Amino acid sequence: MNKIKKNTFDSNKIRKDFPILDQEINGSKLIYFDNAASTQKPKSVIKSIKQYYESDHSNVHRGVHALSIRATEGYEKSRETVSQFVNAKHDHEIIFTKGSTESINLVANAITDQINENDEILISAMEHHSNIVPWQELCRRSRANLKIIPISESGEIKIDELDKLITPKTRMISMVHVSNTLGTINPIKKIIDLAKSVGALTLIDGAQAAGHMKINVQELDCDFYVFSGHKIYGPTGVGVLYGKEEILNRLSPYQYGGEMILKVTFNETTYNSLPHKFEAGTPNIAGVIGLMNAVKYLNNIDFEEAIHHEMVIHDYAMNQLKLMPNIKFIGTAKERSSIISFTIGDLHPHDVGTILNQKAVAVRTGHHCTMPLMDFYQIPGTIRCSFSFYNQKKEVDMMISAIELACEMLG
Amino acid sequence: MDNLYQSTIMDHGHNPLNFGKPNNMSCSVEKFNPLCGDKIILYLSDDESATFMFESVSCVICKASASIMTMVINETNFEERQNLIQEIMVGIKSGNIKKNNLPDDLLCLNQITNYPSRINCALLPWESAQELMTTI
Repeated sequence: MNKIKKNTFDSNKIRKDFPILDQEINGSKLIYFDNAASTQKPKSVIKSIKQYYESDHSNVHRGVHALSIRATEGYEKSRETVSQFVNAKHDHEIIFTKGSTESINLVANAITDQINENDEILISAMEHHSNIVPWQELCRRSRANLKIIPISESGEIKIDELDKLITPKTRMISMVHVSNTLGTINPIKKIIDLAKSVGALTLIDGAQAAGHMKINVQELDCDFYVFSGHKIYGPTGVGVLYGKEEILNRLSPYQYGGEMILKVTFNETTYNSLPHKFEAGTPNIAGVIGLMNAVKYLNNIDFEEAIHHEMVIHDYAMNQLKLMPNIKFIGTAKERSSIISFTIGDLHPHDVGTILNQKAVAVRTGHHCTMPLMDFYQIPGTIRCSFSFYNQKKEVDMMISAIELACEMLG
Repeated sequence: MDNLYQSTIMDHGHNPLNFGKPNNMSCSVEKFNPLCGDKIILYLSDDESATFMFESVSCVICKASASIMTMVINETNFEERQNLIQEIMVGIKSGNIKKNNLPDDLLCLNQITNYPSRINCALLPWESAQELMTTI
């Protein structure tokens, strides 16, 4: 018999760490269910950015003076913290970017000279545009072929089909860990193992996974793993590319300029070693320091309990929505994260979202940057609520009331 | 709730005027809002009346705006249409559409400016009309 876990997580206490939640919108208390778009920031992250600019700011890796040394120490300490967060083998396998999108673009660009005509890149049918377009462009440049791994109606990868799609020509499989639209958790370990059987590289888009589950890149044995700072309670404009040392060393630089060089003459330039080879120009130092403090925040709370709480809210919302007429869930995978997408009869998601906003309920409506997925389901968009550990059941009740109002007004 | 989903908008959104494809079409334009996925196809009939008709997969605001637009434009002399479309687009953005001799229903679009994230929904049909007029 399964042991039923008691939810002991104190979300009231956690909410005090997030000052933005304590406000009213249109006369009602804010209910923030748009965490898949961006999570809110704890005080410690906000404070660390303020502290950095007030006391420690200068450029990194350049000066010999105290401020530059402090800024560099903070920046590199963050690399170490993030490296431990995903259990990388080496700190220099962590490249700071401006977000998941840039991380994927970096790989898709830097790998260009290793992709030949008729090579194959595989992505899934549930990818975010940021994990489609960079590969489309790579295939156009290299005359390679982009192949799409199909999904089932429930929003799960058709593993059997993947078996048929992988060939010795497959050079890269790039796939989302958790779908931002469907909430599906993909069986990435199995997919990474399949990729290895033909010598293909793997990139895992972890934008919706990091911050909602423990990430262990050595255990996964993926070649690349990417995520964004702002979706794991850190600042916007900072993200991470994890890459295996030997694979990163094989890639060409992505951008050229200061920091990424060892020696420059007008005739020739030699490039810096990892991680600097991929961090041209002055980086987002404050963002990187903010990201370190977001990771520290996650390290300091009972993460397992927090994620359990998130899923309790998810399950409660799912059950409450099931009781409503005309609700159709888009994505009903067994393995799921705290994201629910749905439609209500023929109501347009934007109209529903506008009325929910009048009741201070923040949800995302639209195609969620997954237009091919909307085509698959033959819908213009969905209403998506996505939860964090600071959300509460009573907020779900308020959302349900707001949806009832929307149905009444638009029906 | 404010006046966005007032009865005029809802009436046009649920029972749009000039919805469908004319039998004798002279030209059409298809426009898409990549932010929300709204899609509209605007048609111009190939006869003396030069009637605007439309089909859309869109929110209530876009559909209502398209319905009202066809109502207004189809009653306007062909030569005056381009200027009127431009004038009303400016009015939607600023919430300051002037009635002049136009139908009362048009004025409900003045509310949209209070919902910045929905202005593009209301503008899409008018942008389509603008494009259609320049392609004739």
